[in-house]
Amino acid sequence: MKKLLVNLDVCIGCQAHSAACHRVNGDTLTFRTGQIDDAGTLPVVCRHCEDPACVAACPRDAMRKEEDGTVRRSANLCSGCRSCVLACPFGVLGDVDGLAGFSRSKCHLCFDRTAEGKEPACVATCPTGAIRFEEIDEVLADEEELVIGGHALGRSPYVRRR
Amino acid sequence: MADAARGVCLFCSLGCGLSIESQDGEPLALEYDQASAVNEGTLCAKGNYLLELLNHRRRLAEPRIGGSVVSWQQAAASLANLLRSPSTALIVEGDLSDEEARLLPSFAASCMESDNWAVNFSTGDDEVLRALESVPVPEASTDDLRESACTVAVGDPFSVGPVVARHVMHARNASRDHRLHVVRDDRHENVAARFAQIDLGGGLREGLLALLHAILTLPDRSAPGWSRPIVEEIARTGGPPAVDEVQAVAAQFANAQSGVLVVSTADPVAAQLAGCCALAAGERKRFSLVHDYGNAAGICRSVAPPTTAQDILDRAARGAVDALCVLGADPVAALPDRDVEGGLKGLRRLAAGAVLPNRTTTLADTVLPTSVWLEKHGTFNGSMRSAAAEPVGAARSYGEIMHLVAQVRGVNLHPYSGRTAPPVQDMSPELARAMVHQAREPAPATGVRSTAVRFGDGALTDMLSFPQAIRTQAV
Repeated sequence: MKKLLVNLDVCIGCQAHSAACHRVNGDTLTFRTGQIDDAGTLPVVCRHCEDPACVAACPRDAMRKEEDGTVRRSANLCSGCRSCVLACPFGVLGDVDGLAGFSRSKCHLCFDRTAEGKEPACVATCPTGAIRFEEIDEVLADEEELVIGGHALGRSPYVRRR
Repeated sequence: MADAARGVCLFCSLGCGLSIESQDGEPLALEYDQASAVNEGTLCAKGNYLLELLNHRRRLAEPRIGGSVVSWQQAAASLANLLRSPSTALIVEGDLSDEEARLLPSFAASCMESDNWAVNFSTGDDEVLRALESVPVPEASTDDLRESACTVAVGDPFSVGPVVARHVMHARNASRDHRLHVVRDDRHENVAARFAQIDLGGGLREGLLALLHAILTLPDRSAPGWSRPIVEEIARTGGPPAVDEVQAVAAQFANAQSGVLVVSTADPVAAQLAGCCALAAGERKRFSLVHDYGNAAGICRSVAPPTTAQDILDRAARGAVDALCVLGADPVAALPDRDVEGGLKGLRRLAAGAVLPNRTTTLADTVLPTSVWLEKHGTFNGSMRSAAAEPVGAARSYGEIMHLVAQVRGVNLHPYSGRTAPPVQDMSPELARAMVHQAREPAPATGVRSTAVRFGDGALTDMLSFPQAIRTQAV
């Protein structure tokens, strides 16, 4: 499956991805930016885990692992209990005020854009090309690059040069 | 059915391509232009919010005098009257198209009683460019940035020009030997904070002086002739500033196979010092200035405004200017360290044109709605652009406002000349004879004109990919 990957070697922390995500997702932000003290910023995004903890935690089946591999939150089924927010081991599920906003605030890999043959908005906007949308298996097989950060918990989106 | 029109972003100097989808003249969506040679579809955080600038709910939509809505004819008459005073001045913002910039000298000569006009770059780019005129260091192209073995970033060029950052990051990622040094400007902490920085202590000027001295006094290198008085002056005034990391950076930059010094600063002294650093570092070193405004460099070089916006505002503060027209700029907010507000309050008349209400328009007696660059035709960053959206309300471009005022004065504006073109009816027999004689001579054979266009950052693109009729049915 294709996933978002952030190449930390070329990321400049400009947060253009957050702006693009905010714009295309109707004023809710699903691709956040973490601030690390004295070290700069780090893009934080849903990893669309193979066995997602958020899906297991959801009492109303609002969180689902779809056939295309994306983890999505249903706007109709979500009651806003925030169990998924607590369950996510990566802290990527945001806490947004209001049910309508809450139900949408989840990265869905821009399935509407990719269906039209476009890239996800964060990938299309990244000025340095640090955010990529690639087959995860191909990246893991790449000898030049190293996928890092919490590999045991799920396939991490961060890439560095070996 | 929505229309898609390609436009160019002028938030910074790079001229990133983008696409605006609109329906019945109303802009609906912003899309990335993958065919753009400059940004290949990417946009920075500011560029992503362009659409909000176009249809912002607080957009100025009609001209006002003293708070009351008036017609453009009344506003133009008022503006023409304002510019008639001998102690009048005009400041136009740096997001002009090339054509509008060319109209300015003609407009000033025919519609103003004084020669006090300037193009404003809110970051002081005009002063920076003037300071750099004395430093003949070659400008870096996109290829130079991507193939550089050592890059020194001064200020925070990455937050101002993320596409420049892409080329620098490409160089950094392509070679393990590539070195990137960030000389931090106190104004910025955001993007440059990710990289190891040179701690300047005393500020940008001091750090660059230390870097210049270190490059000039490197062992095993002969310093250029022009540098001797600088080294002597530094020694005479207490020696070079003590900045520990600078020696290593100077050696790496000067000894690198190729290098680029990327600078983003509003300080002309710092820019000149940075230019000297690149010049002193040897033949294969280049300089790249990241401007905040798209056409800044081109306008400064081709139109050569007689003065700077800062000079005009200083004169206003001293009472030497009594009427001022500011189109596009918001000097009150842009120059917080000067008492611009006090100077403007003392004026007899102030007219301000802007896209959104700002601190300058609140002081103005005449307020004019101006159009965003995406709403007008013209040449930006060296390539021809059509309007990507309809202007909001009665908003007019700077060029249209100049033409309206000229109509009130009864003159025709002619670009590419500081004089008013005589109407055809007034043509003298001599001029007519010369014209007809020339017309009957066979035209010389002309070659095919190159369609390549060079952008501000050195990237080349093909003019044919930006035809005048850009509007295409899509979506």
